[in-house]
Amino acid sequence: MNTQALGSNTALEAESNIDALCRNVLPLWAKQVDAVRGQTEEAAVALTGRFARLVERLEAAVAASTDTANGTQGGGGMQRLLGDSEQELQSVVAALRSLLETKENMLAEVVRLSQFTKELEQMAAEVAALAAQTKMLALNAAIEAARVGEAGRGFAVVADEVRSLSLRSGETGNHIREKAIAIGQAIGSVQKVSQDVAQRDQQASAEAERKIHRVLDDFRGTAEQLTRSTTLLQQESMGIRDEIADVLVNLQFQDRVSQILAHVGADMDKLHAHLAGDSALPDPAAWLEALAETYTTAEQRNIHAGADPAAQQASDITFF
Amino acid sequence: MPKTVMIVDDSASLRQVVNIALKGAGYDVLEASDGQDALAKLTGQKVHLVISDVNMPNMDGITFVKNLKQLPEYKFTPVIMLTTESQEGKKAEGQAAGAKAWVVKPFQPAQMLAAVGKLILP
Repeated sequence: MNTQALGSNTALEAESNIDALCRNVLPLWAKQVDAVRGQTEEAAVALTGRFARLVERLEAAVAASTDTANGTQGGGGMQRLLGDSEQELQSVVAALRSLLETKENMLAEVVRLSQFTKELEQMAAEVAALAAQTKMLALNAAIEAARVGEAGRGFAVVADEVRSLSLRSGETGNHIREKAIAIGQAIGSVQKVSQDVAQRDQQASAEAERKIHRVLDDFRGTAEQLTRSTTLLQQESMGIRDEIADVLVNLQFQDRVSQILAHVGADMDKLHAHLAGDSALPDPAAWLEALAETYTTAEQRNIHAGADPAAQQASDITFF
Repeated sequence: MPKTVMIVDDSASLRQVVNIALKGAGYDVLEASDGQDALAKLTGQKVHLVISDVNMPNMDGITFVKNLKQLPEYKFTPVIMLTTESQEGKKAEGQAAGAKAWVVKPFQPAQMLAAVGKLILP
């Protein structure tokens, strides 16, 4: 055997080995590529599902928080509760003020009543003075009656009766005066007690009003804080939603990956079919041209042309 | 009454992404995995807009749109092609088949919603 024959045999053996290797390895590669496609698809579906649930939960949390703050979904709402409470408590304050006003009016009536008792007292004193004058008049009449003797007897009886009436009038006048003084003192006591009570009521009412305003201020502060938190939550949620929108754009890589891998896998299958069928392999240029026909993405064509395989940027829309 | 959009794509994850974007905006969404599946699912349904991929097994997107336009009830239903294809020749095929817009993947959910809002039947 000469050297040339030996070399030719070695080349034939090598070709046969490559052929056998390709027949065996190509289906394995194709299966591996297919498995990767399946796994990325599964993972991408799971990821998008999780993001969808995240968006739903985020929206539910924001809706609940907004409802708590503003009562937008028919709930109580902190702002509405604050408004209702303010209205209710203001009506309590108004009722307290009205009650105080009534008491002040009553006190004024009592003061007016004490004026009457003074007038009554004066009138009683006048009655007593009149009685005293009448008594003096009766006494003079009796003296004059005695001086005229028998003829004045009848007149002396009348004068005696007048004196007796003036005595009784004077006593009645004194009684009225005493009663008027007693009533005046009683009214004075009532007035003093009423003034004390009114003063205490005024203090209690002012204190109640202060407390109500303080509670409402605290409540308003908390409500405003809640509104600020809700606004912040809404802003954050919108930020997260935008982030998720970006994630959703990026998750579309799987579709492109899947298509590219499918084309690679199909080309491997095609090569394996040629080898298994023992048919002559086509011209490499024709093979590559046929492969290029299967491309569906810009980066496949870029790679094929030896250019930068930059991925497609979102989003290109053409309206017809 | 929410409007219904059908998404036709052999990629389950892509269908889900479209589904999330549209449902978030208040649309009802129907899903189909290729042209054949879509034609079967459209029967007896009221769909206001269709979003379809181009490269799919069993029946590709261009053939599906041509078939869809033959159905009297879907003759005027707007179709948006959603594909990795960005070649002008393919776009022209889509336009000739009756599509109203061509969106190259990956798409921005907000832009897709704007396109759907612009094209969907009243």
